[in-house]
Amino acid sequence: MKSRLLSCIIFIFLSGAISVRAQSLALKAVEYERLIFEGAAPAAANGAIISRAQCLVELGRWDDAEACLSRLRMYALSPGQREQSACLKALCQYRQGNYDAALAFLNEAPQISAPEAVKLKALVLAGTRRFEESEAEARRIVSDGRIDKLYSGLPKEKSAMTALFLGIIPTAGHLYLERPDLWWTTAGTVAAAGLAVYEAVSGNWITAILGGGMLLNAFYVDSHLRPTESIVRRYNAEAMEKFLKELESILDF
Amino acid sequence: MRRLGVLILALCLCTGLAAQKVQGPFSFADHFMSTSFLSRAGKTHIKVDPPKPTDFSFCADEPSAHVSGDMDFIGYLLNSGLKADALTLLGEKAYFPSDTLEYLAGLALFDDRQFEGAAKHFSLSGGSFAEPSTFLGAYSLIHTGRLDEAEYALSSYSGEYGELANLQLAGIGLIRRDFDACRKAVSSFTYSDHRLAESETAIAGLCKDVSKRNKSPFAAACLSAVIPGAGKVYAGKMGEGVSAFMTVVPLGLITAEQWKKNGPGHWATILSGALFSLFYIGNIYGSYVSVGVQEQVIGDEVKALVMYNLHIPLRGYFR
Repeated sequence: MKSRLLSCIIFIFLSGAISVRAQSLALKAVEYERLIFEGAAPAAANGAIISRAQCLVELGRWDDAEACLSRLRMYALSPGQREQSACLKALCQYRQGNYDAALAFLNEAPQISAPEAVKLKALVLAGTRRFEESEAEARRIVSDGRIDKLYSGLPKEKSAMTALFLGIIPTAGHLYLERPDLWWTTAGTVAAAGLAVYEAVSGNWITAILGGGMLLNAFYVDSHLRPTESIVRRYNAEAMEKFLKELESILDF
Repeated sequence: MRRLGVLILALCLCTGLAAQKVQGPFSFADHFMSTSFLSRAGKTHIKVDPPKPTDFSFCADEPSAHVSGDMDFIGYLLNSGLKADALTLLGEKAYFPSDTLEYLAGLALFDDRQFEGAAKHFSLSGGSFAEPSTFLGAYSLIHTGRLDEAEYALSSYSGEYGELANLQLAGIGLIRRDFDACRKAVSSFTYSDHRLAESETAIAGLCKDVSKRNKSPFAAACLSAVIPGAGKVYAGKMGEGVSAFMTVVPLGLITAEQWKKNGPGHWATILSGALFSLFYIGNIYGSYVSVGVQEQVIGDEVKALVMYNLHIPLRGYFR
């Protein structure tokens, strides 16, 4: 107990020295690393690791912050530090778009009480599409009409399978994808089908099969089937990003 | 009908000329066949990542500390992969200028793949760091394409690491495709130092292999003229060869059918004939050009292998 107290005092003193000495956030992060290098006791080392991670998060170096936090001595963490480290790890994952991993880290914390942590939990729950729980968390911070308005217009999730099936019907696929600019793929698919039928009726089987097949491959397979999944993924990601940005501005995160 | 056929052919030519990034309708046809789904079958090619641009400079404040006091800590940062932190410390703390400072800056930049900056700082380092700086600096110069400077530095070296210098000279010869210089350097390998032996064997093997690889663009074009896509397969691009075959042959069959059933003056025959000609000639043109492109790809692969084999002994000797 006494040695832990002494380590904390030393850490606080050194942190003060670092604040005076360091000229930039990056240099501060380096000086916190120096404390670890010089063999600080586990409690003080944990403090240095968390402070270093905070500097790295402010610098936008999410990967480095995550790698730094993985060095924490879990047995020497106080409950406050446990919540702090869980939130920092969750924040790194959230900023990289890994919402499920962010939620897993938040669930490690014994409790989520700090306002910033509650805001982060609301955002992460929204990212994993658990909108009811996200709304409940967001209302702990803000409970005015802005939350009602935001949560009444939840981001829609498109399905690649639905887009592929609808693609068989001219224009239905890319209307579902909200991409009317891809009309030419439908025109090409219809032309290919028309050519194949016309040539088959005229008795030109090679032209019908090979020509129709080549056109179908170019306009349906290459231009509609293959890009559909990436279009859907991008649509879903953009819709979610827009929602989260709005939520961040309401929560002042 | 003939006028319609000429008009369609002219349209194809104009479309090809208007297509972005290509010159001429035949290269457009080749580009179309090369970017289809089928053409992407086959292995991915390894390539050396380009070096990062250097944005490092020392602190402009009045010097107040000796870097030798932080040498252990900087070594710890570099060995732990915290190169960004090492660069921050070296760049933002006001150290007195010294050979040690230049060497450590070179090392941190080297680890961060800022080879341009690394070469500059290694060239300014001397004293007890002269030898490691020579070889790490030469490697950095090779990476940035300054082969003449690297060759000069290595040829004028006369210390105890002569065999390492020969290994790097052999690598330079390979990258330049100067197989005589490469063979001359390879002939002095003794394979006796375990830190060099594996790299020496790899470089000697590459020197033997690559000097035999010489494909002819004319042969590729002739093969594609006989069997569409065969020239691309000869150039090493299996996927593109299959794609070209699956495009040109069906168009040929369609043209033949239309000719037989409707005669040569029918619009369908002229249209399919025009498309067949476009893609057939595009396939020959593409095969001719592929050999040159494939040489570039092989050159990139060779460079990647050379740089890998030059890097390993440097870690063994100086890290």
